[in-house]
Amino acid sequence: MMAVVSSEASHDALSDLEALYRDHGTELVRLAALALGDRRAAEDVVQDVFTRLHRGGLRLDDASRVPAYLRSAVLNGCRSRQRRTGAGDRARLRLARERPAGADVEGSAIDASVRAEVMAAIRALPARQRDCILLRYYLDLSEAEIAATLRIGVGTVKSSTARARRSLAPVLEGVR
Amino acid sequence: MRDEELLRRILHEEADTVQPPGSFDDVVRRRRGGRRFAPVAAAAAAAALLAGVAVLLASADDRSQVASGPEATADLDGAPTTSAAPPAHDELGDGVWPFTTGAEADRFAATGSDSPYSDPTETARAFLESYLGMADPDLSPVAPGDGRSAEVVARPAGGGPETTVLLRQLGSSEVWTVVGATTDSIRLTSPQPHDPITSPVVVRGSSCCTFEGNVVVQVREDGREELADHLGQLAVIGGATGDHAAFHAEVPFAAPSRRGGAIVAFSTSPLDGSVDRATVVRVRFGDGGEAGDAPAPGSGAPLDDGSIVAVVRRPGEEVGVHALVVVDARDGTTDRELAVVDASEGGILDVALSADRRSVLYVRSTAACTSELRAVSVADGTDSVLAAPALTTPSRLAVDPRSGRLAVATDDDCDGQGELVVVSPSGTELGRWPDGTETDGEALVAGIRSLAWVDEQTLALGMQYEDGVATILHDVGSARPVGGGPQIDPAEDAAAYDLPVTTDADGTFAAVLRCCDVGAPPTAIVRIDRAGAELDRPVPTAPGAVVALDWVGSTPFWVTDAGILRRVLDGEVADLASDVVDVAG
Repeated sequence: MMAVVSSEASHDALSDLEALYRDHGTELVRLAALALGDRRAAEDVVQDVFTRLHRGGLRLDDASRVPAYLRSAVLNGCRSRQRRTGAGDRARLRLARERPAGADVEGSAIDASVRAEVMAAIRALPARQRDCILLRYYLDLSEAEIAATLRIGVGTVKSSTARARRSLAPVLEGVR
Repeated sequence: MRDEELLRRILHEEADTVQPPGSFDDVVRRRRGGRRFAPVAAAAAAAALLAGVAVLLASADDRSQVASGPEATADLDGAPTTSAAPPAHDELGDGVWPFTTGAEADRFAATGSDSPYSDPTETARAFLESYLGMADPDLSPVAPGDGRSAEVVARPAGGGPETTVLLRQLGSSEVWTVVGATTDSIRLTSPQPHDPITSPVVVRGSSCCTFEGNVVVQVREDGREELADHLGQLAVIGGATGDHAAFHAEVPFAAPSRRGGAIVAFSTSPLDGSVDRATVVRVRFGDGGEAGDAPAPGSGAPLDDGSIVAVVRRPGEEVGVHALVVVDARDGTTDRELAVVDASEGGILDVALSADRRSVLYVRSTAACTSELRAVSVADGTDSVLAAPALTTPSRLAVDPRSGRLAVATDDDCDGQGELVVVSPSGTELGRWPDGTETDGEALVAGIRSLAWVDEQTLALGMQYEDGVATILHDVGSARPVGGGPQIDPAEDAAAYDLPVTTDADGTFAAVLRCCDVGAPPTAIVRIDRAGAELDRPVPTAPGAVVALDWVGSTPFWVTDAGILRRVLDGEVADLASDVVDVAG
C-alpha cells in the first residue's frame, strides 16, 4: 500500500525545510558562488543539492551533521559543474600563462579588480585545494571540521591547504 | 597583512557581493534559462522535496510513517498526492504539457497556486520556452475556440515562421493545457494524435523552408520538461525552399516510464540555434515499447579518410548547443550535421569514431551526474542510446580501431572519480576498475580525463589528480600500470605533460607539453614511449592551449582553448574551424 505524508507532517516538513534553507541557504549559495564565480550557477548547484537530497533518500539521524553534508554536497556539485563545463581546466590553463598583475589596496576595501584576480587564482586551484581554502578562510572551519566535510584526513587538509597557499602566495604578494 | 588575514578579507568581501537568495520556493521554481514560470512538475518536485527533506531528517520512528514505493509526497498545501506516479493506462489524457489529464489539472487548480496556466497565452509562452526551448517568442492574441479551447500563434523573437499552439481546459478547472502544436512548414502524417507507438517509431511527413532542410524528430515522454530530455531523436532532411519535400524516418527510442508522450518535430534557427518552429503530436506508448536497441553500428557507408568529426559550439539559449558535425580534414568545411545537443548541462562530453568508421559514438550529459552513451550513424544520422548496462554515467570513451573494444570512463556521483569499464563490440563487459588509487590509507583522488587505446590490451590514460596530471599506461588484462609518463605537478614543474592523451595510428601515445613559466616556449604536442620518454614532437609549437587532440594517420588535429581546430598542413599550423570543443579522427 502506498503511504503518503500526512497533512500535519507535511506542514511540519515545510517548516523544517524552510528553517533549513533559512539557516544555510545564503551561506551555501555564497560558498558555491565563491567556488564558481557565477551566482546563477551557484543557485543551480544548491538547488540540485536539495533535489538530490530528496531523491537520493539521504538518511541523516544526527541533525548536527546536516551543515557538513550540505557544504560537502555543494562543493561536490561545484566540482561537477566545472568538470562538465571544463571551466576548471580553462581557468587553470589561463592561470598557467598569465601572471598576476600588481594591486592596490585602498581604505578598508580591497580593489574589486584585485579581488577578482585573487578569486580567479583560487578558482584555478585543484578542487580539493580550493575547497580547503574556502572552508578554512571563508567559513572559518577548523582542520578537523574541514576533514569531516570533505571526508579526507586531517593530514590531507593540512597538505592541501599548504599547497594552495603556496600557489596563491605570488598573487597575494601582488596585493600587498 | 598576513596571507591568512588577506584571504579571509578577500573571501568575505567577495561573498558579500552575492546577494542572499530568495525564498526556497524562489530557488526551486527558478528555471534554468530564466524562464518565467515553473512547470507543474517543478512545483511538484518542490513539494516532494519539501516533504522529503524534512521526513528524511526526522527520527527513525517518524520515518516509519513513510513507506517505500512510488514517490510519496505532498502538495504545497500539505495535501497528499502521488504526483510522480505514472498514470494508469485508462488515465492517459489529451494533454502534452503541463498537464496530461483533467484530473491532474484539477488537482493543481485545487492547490490555488499562483501560476500562468489560468491564461492561455502565458501557458503557451511557458510551453514554448520550457518544453520547446524557443527563445523569447512573440505571441499573437489568443484565438478563442469553443470556450474551453484556444489557439495562440507564436513566432521566434524578431520574426520567423509561425507555430500555432493548441490549448484546452481539461477537466473541470480553469487551467489551460497544451494539447499539441502545428506549423505549416513541418507536417506530420504519421503518427497521428493518440496513435500507439513502439520503438522504432515510423515518422512520415513533409517539410519546407527550414534551414538547409533540417528537421529534428524527437520522441518525448510525459514529465520530461526540456528539449534535450528526450527518449530518442533523429535528424531528417526535408525541403529547404518553399516546396514541401517528404521525409521518412524510423526513430528508435529508449524505454518510456510513462504511458504517454509526444512526437516533436522542429527546426532550429541558423541565427542562434534555438527552436524556430515545431509540430507536436500527442502519442501513447504501445505494448512492446521496450528500450530502443541501438542501431547496429556498422550499417551504411563509413566516414571517408578525408573527414573528421568535430563538436562545434553554437549560440543559443544560455550556453547554446553542441553540434556533432562531419568536417573535411583538408579545409575544415562542414560536410554535414549528425546531431545537435543542448549544452546547458554540459552537452557532448566526448566523441569517438567506431572501429569501422560507420558510427560516431558520443557521450551526452543529460543532467547533473547523468549522462548517456549514444551512437549516430554516419550514413543516415540514426541516433540512439547505447543501452549497455555496464555503461552508466559515462564521461569519456575510446574505441580500439583494431578490436572494436570500447573503453569508457564513468562517474556515477559527479565527484570526478569513477570506474574504467571495457566492453567488447557486442557489449560484453571485459573488465572494470576504479580509477582512483589508495595511498597511505587516504584516497588519492584521480579522474580519467582522456583515454586512448595503444593496443588491444593497453590503454593510455590521462589522469587528473588533485595536484597535477599523469599520463599512464594501463593493461586491461592485469589491471596494472605498465608504463607511461611521469606524474607532474604543474605548480612545481616548469614544463608538464598535460591532457589530453591520445594515440596515433601506430598506437604510440601522445600528450601535450605545456609550460607554466612566463617566457617559456608555447605548447607542443609530443609523442612518448612506454617508459615515459619523449620520442619526438610532431608539433613543436602549438599556439594556444590544447584541450582536445586526435590523429588521422600521423597527422594530429587539435582544438585550442579558444575553440580553434588546427592541424599541420605542409609543415605549417593551419586553422580549420572555430567554435570547436572536441575532435575525433
